[in-house]
Amino acid sequence: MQADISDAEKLYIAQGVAQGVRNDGRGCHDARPLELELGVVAQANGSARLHVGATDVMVGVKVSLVSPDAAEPAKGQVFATVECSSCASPEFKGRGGEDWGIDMAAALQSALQSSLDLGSLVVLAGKTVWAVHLDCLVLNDGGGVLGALSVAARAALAVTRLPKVEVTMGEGDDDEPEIELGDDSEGTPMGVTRVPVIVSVAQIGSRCVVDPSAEEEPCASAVLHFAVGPGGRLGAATKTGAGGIPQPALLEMLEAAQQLGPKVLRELDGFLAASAAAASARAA
Amino acid sequence: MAAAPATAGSSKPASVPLQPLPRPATLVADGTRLDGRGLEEFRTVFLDTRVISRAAGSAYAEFNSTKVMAAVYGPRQGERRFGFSDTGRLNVEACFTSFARREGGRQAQRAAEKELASCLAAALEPSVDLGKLPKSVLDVYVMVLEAGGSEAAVAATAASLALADAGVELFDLVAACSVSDVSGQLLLDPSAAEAAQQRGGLLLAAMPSLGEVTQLQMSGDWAPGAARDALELALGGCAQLRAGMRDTLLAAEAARQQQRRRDGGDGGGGGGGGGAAAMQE
Repeated sequence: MQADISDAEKLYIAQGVAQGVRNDGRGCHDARPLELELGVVAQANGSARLHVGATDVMVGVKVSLVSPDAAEPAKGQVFATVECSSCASPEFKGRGGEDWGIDMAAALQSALQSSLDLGSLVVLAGKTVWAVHLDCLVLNDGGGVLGALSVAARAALAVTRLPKVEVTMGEGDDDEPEIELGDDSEGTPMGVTRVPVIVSVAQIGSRCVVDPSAEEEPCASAVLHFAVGPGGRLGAATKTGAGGIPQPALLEMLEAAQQLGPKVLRELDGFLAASAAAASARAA
Repeated sequence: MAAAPATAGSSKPASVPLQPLPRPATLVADGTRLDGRGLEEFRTVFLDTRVISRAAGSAYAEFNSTKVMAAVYGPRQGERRFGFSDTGRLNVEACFTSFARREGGRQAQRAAEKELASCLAAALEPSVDLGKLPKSVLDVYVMVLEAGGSEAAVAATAASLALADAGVELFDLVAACSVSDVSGQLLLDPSAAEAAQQRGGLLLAAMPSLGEVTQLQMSGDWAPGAARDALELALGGCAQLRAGMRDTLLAAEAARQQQRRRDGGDGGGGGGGGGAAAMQE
């Protein structure tokens, strides 16, 4: 999304980037620090709120039992929705944020579908599977929203517990099996190790910067969004912006994303492990 | 289901089960693909321009069973609801014929059309000098006649050829190609059967002479090194394709010039005699 800044400000930012300086003091390959809160929504099975610079997003995960898609009976389902609060940016007022939200939801959903173990979400083959609903809310747009959503989504999924399910088969062949839900606290975690984070790399002038802020985004001729998994594995990638990217810059952007992605994942996993340890210490 | 013979009295014909896409176990053997190509080889490419007489420019691209038609209309005055703009706008619309794809219902088709249109718009926009067309709109219509794999890449190539045929000022031709990672091997310009079994796929659109990339879409799962190799393979493919596009445009222009010269030499009544002159030859 575009922050409302003047041409003079754009020039100032672009010239700064050309010399390797960014207006918030970062280097070209530095991401902004993450500030994460877990379990912020009591009604959800897992939730997280993330501040990255001025960007503020919230993700809630809800799971429900549904009958599987006829085409893929042995797979669970993942759905993502992104809602852009009209407080977040003047462009979101009315239905302004809708299309943007749909695009981001599609990006998140495809990243999750290819990285979550959908086979493990099956409760009763061909009859009942878990549907994971990821509800994302953009509270403030300070740039790099898609990246922030992906980090918050991974965090929220990591703290989600699938409730314990007990299946009682009916006596006869025609009887429907009975499904009993257990308590949330004794549920099983979902495997999220392969879930990627999305790293945005913007092309400003002849250089590229990672994790662009709201002021840098309108200065960029093009932005590439890479889904990066552990070890620098790449998932989906998309491009926004109306400019072309010089070929050598493309490979440089790819490399920058592959370096930053695992770093973010390590930071996130360290935090999640520490908070899980703290929670179990409190319980003991 | 027992195949009941269709009689005149039967109210409804027996439904025919949908043929699933064949999924051969091995797609590549000894560096040769099922259709006889090498790993880094295009399908048989056929390009043509000026196939739709009413359009300002048009093109037809055929990569074996992937067949795409593109037409460019305009530039025309922009709609009032978009307000004043000192640059032009590219309006891209894409559609699949109802028999283009094997799978998917109406709704899935509409979603695919929307996605294809936005992908094409992003691929083409950097190549058009929109600063020269203030307050105007260029309409680009793309029709996928048959989707035999890599249709987005073929569509982008055809659309760029149509833009060039329309005489729109371009920075460079846009050539696009897809690469699939099928069990660790990188395949250029995958067919539908190959793309169905890919672990990772990418679409790259580039302006090879300018050395700029206009669109990149990746999906699936890519090992760290493979992504880089695939990008380089796709860049090479785009450069190769661009040479073919250029030849097509040059050949078409040369043919037209020859036609004009012949018409002029006849010294006949002028307009409208083009077709007849060709018949006499």
